Amino acid sequence: MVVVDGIGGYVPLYRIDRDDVAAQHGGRGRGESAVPARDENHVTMASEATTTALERSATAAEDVAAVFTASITDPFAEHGIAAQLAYRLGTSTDVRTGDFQGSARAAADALVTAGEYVRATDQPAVVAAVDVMPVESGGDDEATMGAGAGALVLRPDRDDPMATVDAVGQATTGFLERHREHGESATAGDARFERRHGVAPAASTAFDRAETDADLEYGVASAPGFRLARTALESIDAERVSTFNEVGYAGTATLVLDLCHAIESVDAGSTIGAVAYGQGGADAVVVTVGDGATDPDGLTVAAQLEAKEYVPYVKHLEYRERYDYQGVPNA
Amino acid sequence: MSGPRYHRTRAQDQRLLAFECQSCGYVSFPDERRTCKRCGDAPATFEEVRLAERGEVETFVVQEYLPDDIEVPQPLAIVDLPQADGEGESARVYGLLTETELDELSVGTEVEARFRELFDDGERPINSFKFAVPREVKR
Repeated sequence: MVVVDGIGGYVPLYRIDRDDVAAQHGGRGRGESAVPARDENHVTMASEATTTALERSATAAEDVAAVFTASITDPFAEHGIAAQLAYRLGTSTDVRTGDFQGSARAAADALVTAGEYVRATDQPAVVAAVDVMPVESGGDDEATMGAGAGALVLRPDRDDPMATVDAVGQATTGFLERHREHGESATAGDARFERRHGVAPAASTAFDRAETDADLEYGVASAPGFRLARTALESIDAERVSTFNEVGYAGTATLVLDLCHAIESVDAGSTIGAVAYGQGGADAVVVTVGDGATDPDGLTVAAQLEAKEYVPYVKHLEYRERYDYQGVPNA
Repeated sequence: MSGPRYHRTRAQDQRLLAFECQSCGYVSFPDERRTCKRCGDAPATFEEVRLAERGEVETFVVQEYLPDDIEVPQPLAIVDLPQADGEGESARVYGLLTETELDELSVGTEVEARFRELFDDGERPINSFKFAVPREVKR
């Protein structure tokens, strides 16, 4: 058995109103997207989410046996997030770390691997996913690319866990349409073709393979667009829980962020089906919410969606870029 | 060879580790000194303590004239951070403010430590703590 001992979502304070993006290039926008602050990066955002998850859990940082992170926008080829995060959290130096990248399924890969690690070792593991989606001024997806992070603490058992992981399934189809080079905005391809031949068969197969008798009441979907995500949930009759209209697409972090939001938002005993669609296929995870998720400590994702400040268009572009110098001298 | 300061003080910068003088209880941050700054004990015996991530602004200045690539106004505060276990004295910590408007800031304001990018070493970000008014204040 694997239980979710702690959850933490992180949504940056700043938002861009999608109408403000539309005003630059024409058209109309609805909703808003999260923009990281100038001094935020992948490690700091993952730290925010994971700190919340650990504070809500019964697991001490020094007892964490593995830290697995996922990102599709980490700008570094050699640097890593997991080891930096592990040090910040105060884990033991014999902690196992892993960085998952290369596909929007990365967060699901990290989550499933962490679950298998917990089963194999009977020790707790942390999963964190974080992304800052790059944008191109005037690009088709500029208004809906967001940023955020989510983290889960998994362990073999606990009284009153926040959730239990009931089943997982995957469909590795090899399908590829949307793709993106480092630091660039994506080449989306034909959305209708991707929905019909990429998302729908992969997501439905992944759900079929996540063998559960439970009635999935709520659905969470990670996919790079509202309609793609909706398609990913078509095979299950579930109420969708999503941060898309407030955060936008936060890359592979969307899976964990929205799963945290769902666990915080629904009643104990509810069952959630979560699916991550990305390059090469889809993964499904089924969790049942436990009593431990009722009134969690710290800021919920819903509270962070409310606590926000809007930035002008130029800041939305500027804050996503690396900068050369800030604050204090390099002592 | 001790390496750059951001390596030597990683535990302080990333985990808010401080040093409590076992003679007088003074809490030193970020430096672990040979001589206690308050009681003069030398060589002093310091014990590692963790600081809490919420504290109170003791005083602050607002920097208005900085190089072009630094956003202004940029407040810089002295914050008293208690120890995480609630025991002993607080540490006096210098820190930049982030995501905080000037009208949200005064002496006595409660702030929380936020793990942020402080500067960079070439392309590599160096992360440590800044302070901000608690996020719930923004709701």
